[in-house]
Amino acid sequence: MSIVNLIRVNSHAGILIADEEFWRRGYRRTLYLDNLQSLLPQSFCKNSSLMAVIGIEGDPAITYEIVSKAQKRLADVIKEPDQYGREDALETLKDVVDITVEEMERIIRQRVDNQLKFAYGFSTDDLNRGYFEIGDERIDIKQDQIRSEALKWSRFDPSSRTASMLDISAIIAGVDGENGFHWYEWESESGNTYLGTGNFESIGNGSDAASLSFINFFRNQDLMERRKGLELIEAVYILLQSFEASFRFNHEVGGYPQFIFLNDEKKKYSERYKEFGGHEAKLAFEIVTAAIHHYLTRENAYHLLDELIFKGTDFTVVEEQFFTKSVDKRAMEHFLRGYKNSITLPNKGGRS
Amino acid sequence: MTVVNAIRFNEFAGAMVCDEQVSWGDMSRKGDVGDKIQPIVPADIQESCGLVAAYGGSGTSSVSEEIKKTAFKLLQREYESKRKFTRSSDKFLTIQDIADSLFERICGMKRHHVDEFLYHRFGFRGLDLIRGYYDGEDGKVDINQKEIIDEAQAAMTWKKRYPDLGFLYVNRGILSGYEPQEGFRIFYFNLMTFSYEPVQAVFQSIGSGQDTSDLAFADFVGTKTVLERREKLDPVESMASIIHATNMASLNNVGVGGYYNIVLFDGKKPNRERMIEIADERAKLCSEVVAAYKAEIIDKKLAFDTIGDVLFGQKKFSEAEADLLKGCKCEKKLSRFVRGYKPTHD
Repeated sequence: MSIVNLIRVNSHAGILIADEEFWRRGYRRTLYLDNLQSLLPQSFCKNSSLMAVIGIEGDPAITYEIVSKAQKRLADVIKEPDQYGREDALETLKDVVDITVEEMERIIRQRVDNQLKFAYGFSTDDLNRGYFEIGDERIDIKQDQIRSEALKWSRFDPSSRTASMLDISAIIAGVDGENGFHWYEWESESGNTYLGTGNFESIGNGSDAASLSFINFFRNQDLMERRKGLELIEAVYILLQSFEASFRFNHEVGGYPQFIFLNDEKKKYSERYKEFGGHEAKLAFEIVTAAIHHYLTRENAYHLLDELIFKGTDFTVVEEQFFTKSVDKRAMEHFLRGYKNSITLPNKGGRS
Repeated sequence: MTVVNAIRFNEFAGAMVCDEQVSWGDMSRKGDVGDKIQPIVPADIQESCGLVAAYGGSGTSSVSEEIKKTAFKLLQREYESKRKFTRSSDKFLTIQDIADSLFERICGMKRHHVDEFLYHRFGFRGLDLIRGYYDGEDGKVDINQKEIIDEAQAAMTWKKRYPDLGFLYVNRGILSGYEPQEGFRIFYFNLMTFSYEPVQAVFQSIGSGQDTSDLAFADFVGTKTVLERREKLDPVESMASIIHATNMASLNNVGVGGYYNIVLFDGKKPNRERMIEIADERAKLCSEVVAAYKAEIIDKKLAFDTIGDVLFGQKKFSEAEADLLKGCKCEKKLSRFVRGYKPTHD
């Protein structure tokens, strides 16, 4: 469990962000997630109005397989649509969602079947029909205790060994010629796909605090403002603000943020699809964190984010400006290192 | 979710270190607001007897808090009673005596919580279960239903890790302290195994961070001979070791974070100064210094000098930090490291 957040900039553009923390075996903190990826090949997107990305969370052993196999399947469909019963290549985000969800369901069912076959020698299909065959011999699944245990595995009962299949959710977002920027959410508890609504989405452990942060912002906008959308920089800020809330209050959210920007109004592919991560993303996160906690004005934060993310100004230059523009450089640095109010209150002197 | 660590330097001195992160809501929320190691000896007893001790708990905060308050009251009562009947105040309880009495109190506390639970669920208490009946409103009621007996017994003994009382049993604790008769001692309490014991190794770790702390401790202690381990652990090196052990837990284990509370014991000091707690920015600075030293961003001498000055030399935070930055060969690299940047960004 981690966090994937989405913000709708306007009807043509949106941004997704993900962290990289995962608790291996439920207790070991690791920073290796790669939960935000394009689902479609770059070569296709460059010549199409369609772009689609997935932000997924859950057990990475499963989510990795889902994303990589969905990417491969979509690439195959693009290459040879007729082989997959399609007249045309992919056109809408919903086309991508349907194939991705199908792949997710197939992988999850395969994993459940592996467990059943390893333990009992039969699959979900066998369990559903009540018997399986070995050679010519038909074996009825009659033993109540086995049937009830197998059924628990088959439907990912929380007490069963397949419970991790329950904890997967995904946001599939994109742009297409028909619908502009929009997204779908899928979660494994019900297996349902929901069309995204409103201005934001948040999944994962951190969605608890992140959602509150989003709500706190959007409750102050009237309906027309919400429909119109946000300035791009403001959207980046609000998205990172939600990320900071989950970072601060929720478990299993950590490491560097990773972004994907989508915008179907731009002509060049590099402006329509942009990934942003690494040390620069960490600095962007520090900038917004500093502004939230009053070490930096919102205007200065916007300016620095613009330089860093969209103007491509060098990391060290922006970092230097960041400290120069701070209302209290020393207190801010202590705050970013995790110190408390006794030395981090801006312009209060403190013990620092 | 916690880490509490303890280490013994020699017969007079030792230390404890813990984090301050607390979790709520089915492990979804966190906050750096805990108070995990607390002194358990009232000031007047410390002043007159030279006894100092602290208890650090992991598990359910409220259960751990109850144990600490119980220990504090226990010492108060024992001291009052001793003063009534003897004139001398120099000999009081040893750390072993405190551990013995505390375990008895913990047993009573556990039975009380189990009784509350049994009464809530079934209308009888633990002793009723043992004797096989209780007195109901209309007279004696026999407890003879197998399912009820099984469940009530599971509540009393945590059989099959009886989940409804997990909050009570998943608690562990470390009692450390110094008193003049037996010197510095560490005791380990485990409510999961219904036991307590003196710690033979020079260190003890508990909580969700124990596994990685243990590795760091073992790495340090394994480099020392038996004689060194008994009496000659260097306090500064030992503090670097226990802080590193706590850093490892904070980095790798869930539910460990925030400032540390560093508790130092020294039986050679005047009674009033035998135990000090450092839980402010100095503790945070020490954790940064040890992390930077282990990441080879600052050298050993600078790291150990800073730790020695802050923990044993009463150096102020601002002076220590200024000296650290002055001595560091790459201030920018250090700044980025302690802000959480990955090492590829120098």
